[in-house]
Formats: sequence, structure tokens, C-alpha cells
Amino acid sequence: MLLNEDSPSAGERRKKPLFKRIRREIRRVFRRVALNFLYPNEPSREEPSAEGALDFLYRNEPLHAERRAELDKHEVLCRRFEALWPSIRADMLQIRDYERHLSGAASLRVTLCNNIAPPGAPSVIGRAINLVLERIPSSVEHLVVLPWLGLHGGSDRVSRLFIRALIEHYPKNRLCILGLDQGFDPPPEVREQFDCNLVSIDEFCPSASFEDRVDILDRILIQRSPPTVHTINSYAAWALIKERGSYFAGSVGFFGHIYADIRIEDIAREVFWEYLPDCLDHMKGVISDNRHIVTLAERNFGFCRADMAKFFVVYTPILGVPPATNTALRPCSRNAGPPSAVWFGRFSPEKRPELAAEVASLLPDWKFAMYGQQLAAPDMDAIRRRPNVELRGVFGSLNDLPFETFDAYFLTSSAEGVPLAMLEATRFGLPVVAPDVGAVHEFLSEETGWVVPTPEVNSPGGFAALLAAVRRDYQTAARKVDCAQRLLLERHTWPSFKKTVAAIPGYLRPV
Amino acid sequence: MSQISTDISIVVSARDEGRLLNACITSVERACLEAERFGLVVERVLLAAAPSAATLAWSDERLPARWLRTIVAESDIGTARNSIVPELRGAMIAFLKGGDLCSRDWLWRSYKNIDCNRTVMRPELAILFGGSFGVIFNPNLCAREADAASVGMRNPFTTGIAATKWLFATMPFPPKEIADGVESSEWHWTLDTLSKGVDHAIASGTWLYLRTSPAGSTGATATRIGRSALFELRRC
Repeated sequence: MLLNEDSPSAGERRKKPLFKRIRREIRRVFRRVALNFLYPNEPSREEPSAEGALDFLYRNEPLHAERRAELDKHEVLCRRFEALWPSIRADMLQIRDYERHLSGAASLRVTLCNNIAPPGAPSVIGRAINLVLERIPSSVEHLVVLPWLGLHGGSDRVSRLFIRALIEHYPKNRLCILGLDQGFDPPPEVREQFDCNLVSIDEFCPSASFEDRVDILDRILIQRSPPTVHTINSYAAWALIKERGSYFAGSVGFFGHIYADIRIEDIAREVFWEYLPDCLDHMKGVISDNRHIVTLAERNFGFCRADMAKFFVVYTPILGVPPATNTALRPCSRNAGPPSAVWFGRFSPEKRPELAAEVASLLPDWKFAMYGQQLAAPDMDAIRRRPNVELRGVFGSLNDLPFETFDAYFLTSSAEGVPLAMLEATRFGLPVVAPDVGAVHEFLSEETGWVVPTPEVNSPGGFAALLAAVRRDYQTAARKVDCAQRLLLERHTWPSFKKTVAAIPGYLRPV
Repeated sequence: MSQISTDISIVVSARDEGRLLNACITSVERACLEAERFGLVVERVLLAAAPSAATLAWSDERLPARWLRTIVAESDIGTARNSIVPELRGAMIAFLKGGDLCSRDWLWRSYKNIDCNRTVMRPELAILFGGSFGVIFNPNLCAREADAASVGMRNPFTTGIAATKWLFATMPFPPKEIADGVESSEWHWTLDTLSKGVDHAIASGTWLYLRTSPAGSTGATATRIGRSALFELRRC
């Protein structure tokens, strides 16, 4: 490398401060031991210094080695800039009359010093991208980008259904599933279900930041140019569409999924709020499992007719989904035992399992069974304290649940699309009690179930009253379940799902 | 290089800079005088690539007499630079964009440190001004150690390059209209040169002042390299 004799090499500049610090630390320890030995009753004579404080921080903060190296590098660059500043200032003073921004003022030094960026070549992304590209066939035409696969939940279920439909449509080398976000690690049994190219960025670059992952997808799209890219809840993919979608407008057709307008503690979350308004212009289509969220998008974001033509509702199939093509429905049956209700879903804030426990407190004669995976952390203790609530954990298959022992299924969510749990409960012949939130009304009405009206969706009273009503009138319950099951057969079957997907313009490439 | 009569050709490329050229040319002129103080012979060229009326007007009226002005119809800066290289007389050629400024030492220090045809000289740092303010340090990148694919993901270098005429003649800038992607000519050229074993070194104690717009030009969102065989062929 060609460097002036007056400047240390890059390697020297990296190492010198670290060695100095180590040497200083060793000296300080020896000095402290010696002083304590000589003057055991005197307080420490050491004076705190900025360097010492930095060392102290380093010692006490569990810094990742890379982060530590980054800080060291930044510190070196700051010192280098400070050393150069007198020359820079002198240089600026000569030209400041021609370029007013380059004043050479002390305040400019501070501004610049606060915005020093290290040399930018990352060391991990390039290698990772090569390895990832090796796994993505050059003939890929359809890229599905996911944040996870193999978890319990509606979004994951939808992902699997779409993948299954795509596998049926495409030859193997034209479809690729990309796990872009951090934590994508499908268990082997899930991987085995899908005979297609399944690539996880975490396999090659687990420490990649969110921005790195956006960059990696960017590079994949440039190198492979898949005509269709479909993100199902991958925030990194949505971020790419938002920031760089316009670059790909001519070559890549972006599709994305939206589900619900979830707010938790008044904070707008989810793709709907964070990305959709900024991304739609760059997208070919937005797919939803319910019409309600599409209507909200139109109302909230002022989308016009041309925008709305990009939205497609694809109801989630419950019946006849391969490999088990069974479309059998369990008829509604009277629970001969004590009154009982079942709740199943994720134990997450938007599902409000704690509200279910409050419902249980209003119906002390009832037994409540709750199934599900605990993802976030609602107040589980309050739920466990209810004597008539039994937490039964995750179920392997819905077929294993003792449906004949329940009077009804109830749902307590604060926001929803069309909840899959509600559809599943219907399939197994359970009357459904659910709040009028999200797109629940697209399936549940006075004909098909018991809807807790909007003013009562946040209090347990409405739920308790309707559960009691279900128990009281079995005939009505059976009629409503029958009606709901007819709707399932009409709208939530595998063939109708495939037909709707195939009708989305530009989504499936011809084979 | 001493057998060639001209040591340095500094080429300022301009399209629609207009009167922003005033600060640029002033700073470059200062760097030329500094180089001449060290006994170097400097050729000054304003390369007007499909220039706007404002750029033409400024150069008509204000360009110092010692400067050559070359007007080309080609709007792509890389292609325009390629077209002018054979005409330049300097053993070392330095390219600067018309909105940017250079430090007084940039030219002669780059010249002093360039020792062969396999090195591209970069300023040690770039001081961003205008839309946003900041400092970007350029890396010393040895071709043998460089992870070209990483450089392909994010451009680690700011603008402002100096290399021998031979190098620019044998490794021209790629055309802008490459397939499937937005591209930055200098960035792509950097990848090409790295893959051919050219080192990118810094001239210590030199810097450029880079004018930034709110959109910026150094971020990955602003400029990206197009589809590149580097990602398919080179294992890093």
C-alpha cells in the first residue's frame, strides 16, 4: 500500500490503541496492588480518566467482539480526523469564500466529528450472497420471502398453503422459498414437507443486520430477476419494496400479504401500517385473507380505483388441503357434561388470553380449556390463578382435541383477519362466540354464530352472556353450526383457494 | 513518468453544475498550483458531458485561461471520460466531479504515492457538505485481500480517483446502460479493477469535499451496481 511516511498503516492504526489500553490496564492493576500493599488504609490514589471510563465500560458491558472492533475502529478514525483538522481548517479557510458551507468553523468540526463513518466494505455480506446465490437457481421465476416457517399461527399457515399451491404449479427449479429475516429456522419435519428450494440467510450469515438482509435481497433480485416476488410478513422484504421498489418496477412483480390493522398499546404495528402505504405504488398485487382489511386500506390511505385493483382477497382453505384431502365436517353435538368452553390460539397480546380468564371468572360453573403456544408474555399468572381455567399447552393435531366435551369455542382477540381458529372450530362442529373485530364478521354473523357487538368486545360480560346462550339453546347452536359449515364448504376449500390464486393477474407464471 | 512531459491531467467532469463549478475549479486550480510548486506539470481539463446551458455559460465566461474545455455529446460520465483519455497528456490522470472540491494537496500527494500501473489512488477521506455533513474514510484495499463481492454489495469508496493513463486506457469505465439495475460507473469500475488485481490505495493526508443532495449519492439506495458476473464467478 502506498502510504505517506507520516501516517501509520491501517493495521498499525487499528492495533496501537488496543495495545496501549492493555498496557495501561496492566500498569494500573499493578499500581493499585502495590499501593494497597504499601498504604492499606488510604483511599485509592487513582484519578478517573476518560480512557479509564472507556475501559471500565468495555469490561462491564458484554460487548460482542465485532462491536468492540467497530468501536475501536471508530475511535481511531475520530483521532485521525482530529489530527487532520488543523490542516482541513486551513484548507477550508482558503476556499470558504467560494463555498460557504466549508467555513472551517469550530462548530463544523463538531458536526463532522459526530458524523464520521468508517470505511464501508462489509466483510460478511459478499461471501454470504455468493453462497445464497449458489442455492437459488438462475431459472427461478417465483420467490417467496418469509420471516419464519413452522411456527403455530395464521400467517405461517397461509405461508404453507401458498407454498403448497406453488409447488403444485411450478417445476422445482422455478420456485424458491427464501428465509430472509433473522431466526428463520424451520424444523426438519417442516422442511421435509416442501420439496422445493428452501434457502435461509441465517445458514450463511446469521449475524446479518436488518439492513444487511435488505441488501442481500436486493442483490438476489438484481442477479436472479425473478418475475414474481411474494413477501408474507417478511419485514426486510417489505423494507426493500419501500426503499428500492421503484428500481425493480420494470423487472420484478412484487406481491405482499396483509392481514389485520393490529395496534398494541396504541402503537400501529404490522405491515398494514408500517409498509403498505409506502409500498403499494411499487407493487403488482396485495393479497389478503379478508375483505375487511382491504376496505380499511382504501379508507385509511385514500387509495383510488387503480390502487384498489391491486388488492386480492384469497380466503384461507380449511378443507381438502393436501396431503390430507379430507373434507369431512364434524357435526355439532350436545355436550352432555358440565358446561365447558375452549379457547385456542397464540398466547400473544392481540389474542387477549387474559380476557378469556376474565370471562371464566364470570362463569364459575363452567370449565375453560385453553390451548396454544406462548409467544409474547401476557400475564399468565392471572390466567393460571383462575380455578376453572385449565392451560393445556400446544396441541399436536386438532383431531386430538375432545370437541365433544365443549359447548362452544370462543375467541377474545382485539384485532383479527378471518381467524383460522374460528374456521377450524366450525369444521369440528363447535358453535363460535367471537367479538366483532377485524374481519370476523366476514364469516360470523347471526346466521353462523354468536357475535359480541363492538361496544362489548373489551369486557368479559358480552362473551359470558353469549356462551351461556349457546349452552341454553342447543337447537339454535346446531342450526348455526350447520350454516357456518356450508359457508366453509363454499369458500374455504383447497380447490377454491387454488382457483382464486390462479386468477390473480401476474402472480403465477405460465409453465 | 519523468520521460513524459506532462505529469498530471486533472479532468473535472460537468453536466448541469452551472455556477457550482466556480468553487470546484477554484479548489482544483489551487491544487494544480501546489503540484506545480513541487515541479510537476499539470494539464487542466473541463470535460463538459452533454452540458446544460448554465454549465456552458459558466465555462464560457469564467473558466480560467489555462484550462482546456472539451464538450462531448455523451451524457454518461464514464463513457465521456473514456473518450477523452487518449487525448490526455498526463502520466497520471485524476478525475473529479464538477460539484465537488479537492484539498490543496490532493494532486501532488496522489502523484507522489502512485508507483505503478496497478494502483488507483483515493483520497484518505471525503468531507460531505451541502445536504448533509459528515466524514467518510476510504479504505486501503489490496486487490489480493479484497472481498470483491462485498465491495459489490456496498461501495466503500467515495468519488475522486487518480491512476496512470495506462490503467484508464486498458480498463475503461463501463457504460452506464448495463443490464438489470441501476449502476454507478466509478463503482463498477472499482470492481472491475479489483478483479484484475489492481490495488486501491489512499493518499494519506488528502481529502475531497463532496457536495451532497438530500438524496445523497453514496448510499446503497442511491447507487447500486447492476447485475455482475462477479457474484457468479468469483468465490471469496
